[in-house]
Amino acid sequence: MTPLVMLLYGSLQSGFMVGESAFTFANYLEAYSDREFYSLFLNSLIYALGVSLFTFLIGTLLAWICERTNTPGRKTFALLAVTTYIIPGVLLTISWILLLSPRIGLFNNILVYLFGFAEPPLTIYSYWGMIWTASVHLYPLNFLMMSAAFRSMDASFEEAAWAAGANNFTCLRQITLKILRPMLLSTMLILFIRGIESFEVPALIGIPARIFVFTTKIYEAASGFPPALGLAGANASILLLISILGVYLYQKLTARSESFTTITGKAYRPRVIDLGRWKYVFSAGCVLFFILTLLVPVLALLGTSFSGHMVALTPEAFKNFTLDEYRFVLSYPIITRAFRNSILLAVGSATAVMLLTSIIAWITVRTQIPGRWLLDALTFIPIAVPGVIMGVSMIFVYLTLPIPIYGTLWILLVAYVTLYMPYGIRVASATMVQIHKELEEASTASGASWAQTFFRIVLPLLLPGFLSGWIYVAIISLRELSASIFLVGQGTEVLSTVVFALWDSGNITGVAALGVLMTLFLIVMALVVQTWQRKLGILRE
Amino acid sequence: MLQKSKRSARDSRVAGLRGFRVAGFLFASLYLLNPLTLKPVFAQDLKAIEEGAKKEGKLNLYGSMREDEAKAVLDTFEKRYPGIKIDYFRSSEDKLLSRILAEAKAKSHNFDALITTAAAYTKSLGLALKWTPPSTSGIIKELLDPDGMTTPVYINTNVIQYNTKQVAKADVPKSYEDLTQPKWKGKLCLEDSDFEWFVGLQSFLGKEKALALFKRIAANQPAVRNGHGLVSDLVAAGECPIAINNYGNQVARAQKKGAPTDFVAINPVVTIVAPVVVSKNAPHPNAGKLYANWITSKEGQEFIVKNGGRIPVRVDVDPDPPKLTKGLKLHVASRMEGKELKEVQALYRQIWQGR
Repeated sequence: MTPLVMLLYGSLQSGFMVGESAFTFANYLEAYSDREFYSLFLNSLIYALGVSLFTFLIGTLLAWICERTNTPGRKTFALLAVTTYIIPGVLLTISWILLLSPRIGLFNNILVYLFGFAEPPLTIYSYWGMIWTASVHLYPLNFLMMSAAFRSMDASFEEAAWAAGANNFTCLRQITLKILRPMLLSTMLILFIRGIESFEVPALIGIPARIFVFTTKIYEAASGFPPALGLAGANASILLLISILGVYLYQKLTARSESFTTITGKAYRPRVIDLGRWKYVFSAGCVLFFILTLLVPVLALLGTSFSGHMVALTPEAFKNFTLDEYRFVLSYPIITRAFRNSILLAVGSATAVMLLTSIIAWITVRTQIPGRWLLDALTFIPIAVPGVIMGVSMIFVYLTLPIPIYGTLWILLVAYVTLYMPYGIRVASATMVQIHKELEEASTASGASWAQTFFRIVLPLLLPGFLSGWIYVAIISLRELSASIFLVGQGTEVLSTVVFALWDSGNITGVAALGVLMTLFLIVMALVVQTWQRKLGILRE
Repeated sequence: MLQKSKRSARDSRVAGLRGFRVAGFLFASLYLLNPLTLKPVFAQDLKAIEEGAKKEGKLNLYGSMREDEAKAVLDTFEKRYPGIKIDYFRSSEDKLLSRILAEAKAKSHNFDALITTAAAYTKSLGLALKWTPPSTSGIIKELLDPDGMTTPVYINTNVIQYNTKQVAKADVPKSYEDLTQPKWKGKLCLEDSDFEWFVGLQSFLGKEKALALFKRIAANQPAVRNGHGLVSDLVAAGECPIAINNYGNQVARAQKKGAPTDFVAINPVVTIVAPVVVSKNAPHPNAGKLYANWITSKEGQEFIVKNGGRIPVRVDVDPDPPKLTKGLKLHVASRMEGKELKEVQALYRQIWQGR
């Protein structure tokens, strides 16, 4: 609740947090009467729609391949998809500049060399460039959510369709995607808002391409000194409106929730679809996709991290090979502490978010308490609150209230939990809708208490969704910057603030080296978790 | 003066007798007399500060120096003045100020000293202590704060940066006028917040003339970029052959890493000062003062040159390479805030981005 109150209160103040305050509508007037406002809004809409559609296509297709088909290598593909998301956004965006820029882009140079174009055929400085760059970074989010959905769906409808003579494609289109509607809508909603909110691509590609979006405006208002937080808040209120509208539509479209329940008392296990010879084609397609969206950009990063300064990707680039940047990053004074804090926070906030949102989802989906949709909406609304407003508000609130968490990891945890509840609630509620209540009724009928039912029946059934939500929240926590930057102190530094310190002082090669190390670290972690899960048999094969 | 501190420790018994009189004189000298002429008294003053700082035992320092650079500096300070532990919070300039303001609003005063380019804002917010460290006497006069509330620590110069492989020697621009030549079309770039430079040039050339010049350069469609480090790296990579403006120390650092880049400084050079401010409500005021004095002393300044590649502010310390300031006419940029800043931002965006 706090962030929302702060957002609304702040946007109605003349000098929120940074000067004399008085009640005013001036921020709204300024935001909505700005001559740029509508063109920015239109640009944002095109960009966010493009990103969410494209991301959705990639993520869903990949999730379907990994979860429902017998494509060789699908486990590895799932791992690679998640890995993509850990690379700091600024780095991946820079990699794409090095690959697609009309002046020094590697792909352009190759195409010109091969086909002798007079002009470089590709340019990153366009809507397409922006949408592509953002999408190949955002799709893991969609992938995670859709994987969970595919994993916990009842296959009997599909089997009925196959029995009736439908082919795989018809079945996917007519049955699978329809059953998964709650999850699809949840994902689309989050993707759209993520698209509107995303910062790296609009800043690094949009500004030079002269395509200005909404985030540019919020960023401009919130940066510099004194930051016009009230104005940023007023600008962010449009996100708030979109979020509320989104939740409302979602509730409306999934109102007849019984029709989406797929986990019932019957035995269910989604069938793995045999693609026949096609499986090799799919496999090759995935390999190509990962080479293009992960391997090549990471190679571009490696080039930068090995040469001490940013280089165009030419054979000459590797002449100045040096490991200095790695030595520098590994000897960075607070690096181990930052790794430790980030991991603690990621695990802590992911667990807290998913537990809380599971309970909230249970209340909103299962009970008949009046106004429960409001609870859902309230949990979701912080998605519209810019991190900087969250950060500054938290300082103020926790220095005023007698809760001594200022300067500790706890304040970061509280901030992360508040910021990421919206993501948790969408996953949890979409998964909850799929579970039929007869399972809980059976438990209650056998004399179990609410807590027993929740923890022993509901949570285990939620597990696939819970896990994917958990991984997602953990990863975005690792990357949170705009609130952390206000809340860290000596001893509570996190990775993202270290990355920012390097970036802010112009050490991009250092960021590249750190990014490469973080990516490696995550892959190792993911592999460890995977083997451990397999040993304990948690993962349903 | 600092080198003398050991000897003064031995003299402390003698000093004790004179304590009362000295304190009274000190008080008078700080407020009534020109501090630069009273060196012996200041040695005494520094002594008292050092003692006080040791009793406080702690220093809450806010700044924008990166942790790796800061650590070496802070370690040296802690070794020099044992018993004072530094708590360092690092962030970008505007974030530091926002944090300080939020803390002040909640009536919780945490920072003792602040070093960042935006530190001067604390003056108008009533959070800065009016105090001039003894080491000020060695600082380049043009850089000093006329109000005596902030003390320069390092500076940034605004220069033209270019890629030495893509810009032939003969083509290297010698003036801003050269950047209007049509051969640079699509080859220029600019950071999106160089407001000090933008305003500085207007004050040198006259607003009309400067804006006309900017518009003719803008006809070459510079790509506007976000971040000085990014601009420097993009120039090094050849994505942008010439940056209309960038920070001198940024270019120098890229050079040291072997990047094919160099800079041209056009006199007078718009200079951004990063000063130190001691908080008016500091929980450890003496520690704050002691640090402010040390970092602006010869020893402290040599350290930040060697260790961070910063451009120093003292007459007796050279930058590395010296050409960063040598022979240049440094003109301290005025910091803008509030309405003035907003108007400048709007004009900047209108000219360079057509918004």
